[in-house]
Amino acid sequence: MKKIVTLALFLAVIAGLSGAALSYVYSVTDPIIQEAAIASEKENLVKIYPSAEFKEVETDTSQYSAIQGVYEAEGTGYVYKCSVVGYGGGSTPIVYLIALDNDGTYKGYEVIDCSGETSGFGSRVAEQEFKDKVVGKNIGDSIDTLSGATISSSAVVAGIEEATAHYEENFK
Amino acid sequence: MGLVSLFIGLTFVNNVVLSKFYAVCPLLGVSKKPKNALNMGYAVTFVIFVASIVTYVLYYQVLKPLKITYLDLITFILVIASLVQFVEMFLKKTSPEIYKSMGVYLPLITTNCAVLGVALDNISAGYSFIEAAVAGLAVPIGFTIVIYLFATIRERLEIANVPESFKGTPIALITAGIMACALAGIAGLV
Amino acid sequence: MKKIDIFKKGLFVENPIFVLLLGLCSSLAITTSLTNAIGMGIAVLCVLIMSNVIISLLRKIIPNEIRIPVFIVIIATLVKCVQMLMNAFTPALYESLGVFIPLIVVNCIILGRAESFASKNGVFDSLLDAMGMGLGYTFAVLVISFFRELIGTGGLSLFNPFDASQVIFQFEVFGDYAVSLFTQPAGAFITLGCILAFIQFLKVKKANKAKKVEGK
Repeated sequence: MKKIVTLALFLAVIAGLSGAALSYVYSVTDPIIQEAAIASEKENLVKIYPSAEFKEVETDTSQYSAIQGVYEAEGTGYVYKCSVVGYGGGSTPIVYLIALDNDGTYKGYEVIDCSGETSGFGSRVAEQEFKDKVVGKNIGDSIDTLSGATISSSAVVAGIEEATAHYEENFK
Repeated sequence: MGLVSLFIGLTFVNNVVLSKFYAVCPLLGVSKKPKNALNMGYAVTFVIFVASIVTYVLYYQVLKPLKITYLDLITFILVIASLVQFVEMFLKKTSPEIYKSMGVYLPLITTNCAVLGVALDNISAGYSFIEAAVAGLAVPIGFTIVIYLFATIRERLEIANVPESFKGTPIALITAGIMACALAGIAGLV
Repeated sequence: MKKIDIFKKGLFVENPIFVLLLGLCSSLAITTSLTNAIGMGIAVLCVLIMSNVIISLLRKIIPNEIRIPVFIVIIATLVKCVQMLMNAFTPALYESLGVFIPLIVVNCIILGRAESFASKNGVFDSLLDAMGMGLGYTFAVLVISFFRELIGTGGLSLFNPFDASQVIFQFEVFGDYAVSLFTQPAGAFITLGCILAFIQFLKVKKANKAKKVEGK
């Protein structure tokens, strides 16, 4: 009996030491890995929250086809990366960031790619005119589409609505 | 993905040995006699199936909620080692002849890349529980089919007229390569 | 055994892949390019050195009955650390080596050396053994990759593992005649089979020569 106890104890000690070593290496490498994961989005994220610390959030977005990624701006709010099919079709979706701030408003909106939209018409979703319709509005309020760019802007609005629904379900 | 196409895919098209390269060591080691190959196949099927389920549950119910996913390698391999130990004891008691014929290859199932490989792949592919269980069955069945076929071919190779330099392992590897080619031919199936 | 022999045997006479036939899973899977081969070779070398040294240091206090599980826990810890470090510092290599990084845990070479050498020999000897075996492994996968990449893609290339965009060298020899079969699984088996056949050929030649000398 004593033999088995000593053996088990020894194994437990080894396992404990290993766990400690792993925990240490993890604490050192994880921040670097997180940083690399959002590095590609960073240059767009800082346009909305220039001084915030960002972290990619692991969450279930399987019911929301428009949501490509969710980032938390620590202490301030959440930024959703959305991809919706506009006038240009599925091969050139409109990709944009929408920020839902803790203060209950849409704090930022930046278009990353709308090359598939008609310039002068659908491309207006990237311009200040549309931005003003979004930024500052309370989360959950309806957003007006652009006349003359109905397809593109309704797609963007639908994406914002999905982000809002996910936000209300998970972070509110 | 339909469960049936997942099953067929893992058993044949993405066959664990010939396409993903897991379990190559036992392939070359055990497969000289078809009967041994089949026994190894049964043992491995049991281990991989149970291991897939247990590691999956452990990962999602224990490691992830506690945010200690970096302990995955250690926990998985300990689960696998215990399972193999259990199979060893079971075989020793119930059928000593099989236990003897498998020799050192039985404890070596612990280091069989396929077992750990499947457990890890189930997680990284984001399978649901059912999909992970199906994978845990399909993969070892594919392995069993391959090593059985391989064993029968190697039996023939022993008496065939093989050039001196190729006798033994080299010709076995070339054979595996040809089998892999054949599999590549049905790649479009799923 | 002389110290230098402990180191040398891992390179050729007891080369883990070509002679002992251990660690084949990873060597067949990752030998699609020289960059992958070097990356994996270095990873295996590091793990092997650390595990041999640690196990040799602890060999007198590890109870014999549970030595295998203890070895496995130590090796698994080392491999996981290497995996996390690679994810952080060499992300491109981490992506291309994929699941085969954690599979180093079940790479028979590591457990094999721990069981047959490190648990029975001093620390310095174990270190030499690990270096020899690790370099032998790296050499073997480089040879296999050399043929697979050359015949399979028609050229050779080497990238900096820390910065995937930095090319160390890249040249094409015969692009149009590349046999892409060699970058696929079938090609891996065939390449290794031919290399082993060549080694066996050399052995047979040596044995025949010895027989002739004896016969005289």
